[in-house]
Amino acid sequence: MRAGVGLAVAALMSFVTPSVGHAAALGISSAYLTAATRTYGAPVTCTLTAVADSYVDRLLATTNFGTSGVLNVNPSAVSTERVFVQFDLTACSPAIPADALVQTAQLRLTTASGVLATRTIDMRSVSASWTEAGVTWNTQPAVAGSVTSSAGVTLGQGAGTVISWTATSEVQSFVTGATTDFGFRLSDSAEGAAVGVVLSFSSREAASGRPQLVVTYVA
Amino acid sequence: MRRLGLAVALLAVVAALELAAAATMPTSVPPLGGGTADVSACDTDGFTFRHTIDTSGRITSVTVDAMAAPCAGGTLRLTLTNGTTSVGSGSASLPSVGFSGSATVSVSPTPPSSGVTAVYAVVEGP
Repeated sequence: MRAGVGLAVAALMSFVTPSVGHAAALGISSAYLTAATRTYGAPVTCTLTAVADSYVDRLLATTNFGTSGVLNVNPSAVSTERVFVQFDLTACSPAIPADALVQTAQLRLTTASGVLATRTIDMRSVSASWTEAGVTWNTQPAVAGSVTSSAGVTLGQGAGTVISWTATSEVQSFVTGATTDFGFRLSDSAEGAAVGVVLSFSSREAASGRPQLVVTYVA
Repeated sequence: MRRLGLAVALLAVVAALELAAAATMPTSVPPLGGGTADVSACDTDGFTFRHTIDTSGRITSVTVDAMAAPCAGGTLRLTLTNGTTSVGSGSASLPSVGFSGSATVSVSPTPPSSGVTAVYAVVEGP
């Protein structure tokens, strides 16, 4: 019978004791406890047209092609061609706030003529200023060492084919101000080829198929 | 027989005490924060957040800005959510000396930016 009482008391103690421990666990020793929340709204998509674009040519190293209706990429070792394109992110309406979260950003170029060879085109962010009316092979700006993204074109694709590169990381960085937006460079992934093949995209001066940057973000 | 009756009575008393304790237990718990220190905010006007995204579109870190000077020396804890689900988190110690009001927290795991609907930040201490 004492054992029975003992069990009952033990049960009582085990019931009460956890409540003491629970109270101790709730004690906060911090002098400050500060919380902040950022809840994002519905996604917003902004489609921008290029504000500057051009291409440069190794063979015509001092020639500017800023007013051309096409943007050429060529892997040729002799007449290497590269495209430069820039967008004005501040032109989005509503404006993209600096603390926005970019969900996707895509650079879109449209082929101006049929694709004559299957190639891979690399996109890099540009790291110095340039102007549409001034950039040449000899004055082309530096670019990031690493490729942002790549896209393939396939022999036989016709004019008007839209080719896309992902630029989410770069655009997020431009939006926050972590890096300055000098635009993008497109070049063949295997420059130095003995035989060149020109790939032409429509420029912002073309009647259609102008370069676009499509940004979807939440703020 | 008399001893057995006494024991039964004692058990009844213990059982009654247990029930009474259960009924009154919540009042025995001190209020939150009532223990060792007063709790207040080191910043009253909120923080701002800047995200870093890798080339795969995943959030690798979040920089928290606009933290007030009293937050120096505290611990910043960050949680990214998709609805009510945590999809990434991280923490950073805020320096006691030379605190700029900003800190960058690496996020793990790294969620896709399209899968984050809110960011929660808490500064504890110092």
